[in-house]
Amino acid sequence: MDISRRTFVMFGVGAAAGFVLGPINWKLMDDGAIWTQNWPWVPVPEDGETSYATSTCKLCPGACGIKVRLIDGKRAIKIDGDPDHPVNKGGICALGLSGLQVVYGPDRIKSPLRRDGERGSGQWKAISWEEAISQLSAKLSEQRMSAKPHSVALINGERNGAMNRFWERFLRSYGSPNHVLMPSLSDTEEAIGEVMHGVRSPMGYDLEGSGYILSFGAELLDGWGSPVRMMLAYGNWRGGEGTRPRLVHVSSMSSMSSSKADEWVAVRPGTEAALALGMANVILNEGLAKGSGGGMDAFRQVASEYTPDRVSLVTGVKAEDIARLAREFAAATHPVAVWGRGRGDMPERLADAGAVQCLNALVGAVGATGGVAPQPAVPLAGWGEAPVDMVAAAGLGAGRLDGTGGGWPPAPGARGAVGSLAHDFLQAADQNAPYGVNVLMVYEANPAYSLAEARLFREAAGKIPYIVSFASSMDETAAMADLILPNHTYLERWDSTLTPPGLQYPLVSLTKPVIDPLYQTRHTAEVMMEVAKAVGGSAASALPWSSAEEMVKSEVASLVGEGLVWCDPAARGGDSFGFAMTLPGREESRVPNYQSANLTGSAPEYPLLLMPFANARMTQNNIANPPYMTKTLEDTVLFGQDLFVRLSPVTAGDLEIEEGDAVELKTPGGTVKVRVTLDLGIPPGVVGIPQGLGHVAQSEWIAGKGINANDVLMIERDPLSGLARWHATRARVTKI
Amino acid sequence: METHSTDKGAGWRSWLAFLVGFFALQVVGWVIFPALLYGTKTQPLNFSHKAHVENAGVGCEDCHAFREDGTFAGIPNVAKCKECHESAVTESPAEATLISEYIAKNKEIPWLVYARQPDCVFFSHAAHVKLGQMECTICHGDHGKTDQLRPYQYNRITKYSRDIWGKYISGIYAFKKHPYDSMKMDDCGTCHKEQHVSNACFVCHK
Repeated sequence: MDISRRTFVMFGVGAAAGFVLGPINWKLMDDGAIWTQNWPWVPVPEDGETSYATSTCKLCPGACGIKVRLIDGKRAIKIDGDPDHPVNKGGICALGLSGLQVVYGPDRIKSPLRRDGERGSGQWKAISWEEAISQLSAKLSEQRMSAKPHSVALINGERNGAMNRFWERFLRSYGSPNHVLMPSLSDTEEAIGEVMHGVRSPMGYDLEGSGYILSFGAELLDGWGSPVRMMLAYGNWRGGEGTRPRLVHVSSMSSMSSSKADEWVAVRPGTEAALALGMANVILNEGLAKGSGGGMDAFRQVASEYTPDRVSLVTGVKAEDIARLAREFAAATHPVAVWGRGRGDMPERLADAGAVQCLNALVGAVGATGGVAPQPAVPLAGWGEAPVDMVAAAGLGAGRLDGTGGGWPPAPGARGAVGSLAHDFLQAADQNAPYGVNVLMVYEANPAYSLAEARLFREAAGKIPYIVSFASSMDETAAMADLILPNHTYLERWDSTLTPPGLQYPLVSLTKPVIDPLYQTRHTAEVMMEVAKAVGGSAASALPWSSAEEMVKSEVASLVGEGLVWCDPAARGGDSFGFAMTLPGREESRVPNYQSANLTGSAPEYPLLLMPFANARMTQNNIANPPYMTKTLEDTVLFGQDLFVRLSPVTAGDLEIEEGDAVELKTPGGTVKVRVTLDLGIPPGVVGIPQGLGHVAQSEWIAGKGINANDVLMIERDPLSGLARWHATRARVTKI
Repeated sequence: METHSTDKGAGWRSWLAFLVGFFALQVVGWVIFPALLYGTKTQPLNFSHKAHVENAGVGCEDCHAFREDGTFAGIPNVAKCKECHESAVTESPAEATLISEYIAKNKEIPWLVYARQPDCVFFSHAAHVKLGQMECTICHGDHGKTDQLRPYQYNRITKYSRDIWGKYISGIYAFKKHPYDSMKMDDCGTCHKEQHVSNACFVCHK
């Protein structure tokens, strides 16, 4: 049989049809896809027996319990919320989930490093722990020998864990008064606690029991307080049993919190306190007040000036809306007003915070169910007085560089109720006045990145001859250090967290090692125990423990027993706290009032206001945004390497700027290039900038993405307390 | 006229060629392809579920137990075998291998697991057996009554057990007679849907 071309073609067509209508291609497609999942060069965690270990997350102060899935007890492969933990009840946030990238990421510092080249050049020499400890000991001994222990300072990002008190104790017995904490809303809360309530404690909000939540700028659902607790509380408000609480959000930029609220009251930037006083005016005028406090007459007199008509002119909220909100709030069961803008990492003016706290007093929310009260103290087993020898006593007598300390009312020239002022410390260090800083240690903080007006750190660092970092991963501050003594990450170390911000009852939650240290890192407490022994003097006997575990447990052993968590959910408020509706000053009684912002720069030169905004998918502390989280950001926040600022279409129209345009953003602090996204949730005249991007020191998966808002934000000091805030900065935007 | 008849003959022949091609590829697809795609391995030693259940009176849960923390132990380790087989209790050659090769050397038996799901799947026996009250046989058939361990077939491309895709190369769900005929994602999803259980991605893909 001869095969013609046509026959051959038909054979081919038949074969093709037989192929398509048979199983081969379909099956191979499926197998091919599965094959790509199993390429030998794709890293897959090793297989083995699964176990779980519980601990406490240390990536923020939220104190969430975590449950870490381990393979063969050594490789962590998943972090979940611990269902038995009182704070997060099994929930977990984006950062907690991404914790594995913090631990296993390529930015980890693998051994002690000594600077080997120009500062900041990235040239390092790996050294042994013996050498590293002897170098730090030599530096610290030198300062004590020359009777300058006060010229040693610490910037500490740990506010309430054991390491806060450990460092305080070490520094006291060494002789340095300069224990400087990174700024936080807790600074304002503690000051309000001391000044208005007589209890130096941050505020606790019984939000689970509230019937009406009025937030003055607090972005309750964008990472405020303990973020997972807030998500659970929100779920309960919306889907729980009983009456549905009303959530009213007062702020000037839209956010997740404003969009989830029952009502968003859009006020002009920075005027939240004026609205609070306007509401107090209505409540007092109409006789709706259910509570009061000391100094009520003085407060009534001040509030009488804040008539709804006047407040309307300041805030932009209609007078009838102010009156309606006031009546609603006063009539509500278990109302509470929350203060502190953003997610609570920025201090507030005492007067602003005090105004809202007075509103709480008027509706009887202070110390009530669903209300606000100073957080009850955790009954820690103290370590006793730190030994202080003569050198140390002289050092402590030199006074703090930031001018704080001494209580309220403040002595002339002193900062009263506030614990520490990082910006003032840096400026004093920069000016060598009243004395200079010779050794700066940085623990669990990244001031070169996280501090608003970050240039202040860089300028001060230029004057400080020796900087020591305890960072676990390379960050902007570690990159400027002379010596790095890497700490264990939170999955590798003992640590503790006390009552997280905003929580109403006292809590202790311990962090324990769930994996062996991956690299040649050491617990900072154990490093400092060795250093203290080498330095000698009272420091040598101040730290009597043999391990970090012993130190951490010594405070709380009687509370937690064999477990990791202790709490007393029934406890509310301090043991006893009063309430003064005034901020008694040294010279005069300062009644909470509203003052317009006092911003750097002139309005003609900088016609716009740059305002930072928080996002629960971006970190801002010493933990740089893990890539998993950055991946979740919208294209209108970060696209490629470009950061987007939010601009009202009205302002954009005036400036002839369109969606996606590249612009130059200039403030008195600096100039950066960004792109613009148009957003009706931004008031005209305001530029909204996301915080948490723009790292420079880390690997390519973290660094180089967007710009750091702190490079252009300027601080503004509270005339009463000296606390810095950075809610708004004058700015100019030019199309390029 | 010649051309016309040639055309007629060519038409007939070309359709025959079409059918030859079609059926040739069908044979390749349905018969030769599966034979090439799957490799066969024998288990390290034979295990008779039947002998254990009927002669020794052992229950399924005696070996395939749930641990105290609620997780499923799966195939027992050699320590479990040792509880009864420290020394020989029968004359079976498989038991002799068990004792000499594994129990004496305290080495785990490298069983080839017919029902092992791919790595990307999080499967919990506790959720199905304890919470869902499902019988073992729904997914494992009469495996617990067999006398011989059947040869283990695996896909040469994916390296997974043939039981996942199933016996039938077509992979079409309508032809399935038993739940254990195939255990692909659609099979999981269908049952989840019938039982009103969530089919969200993260239920199985953690």
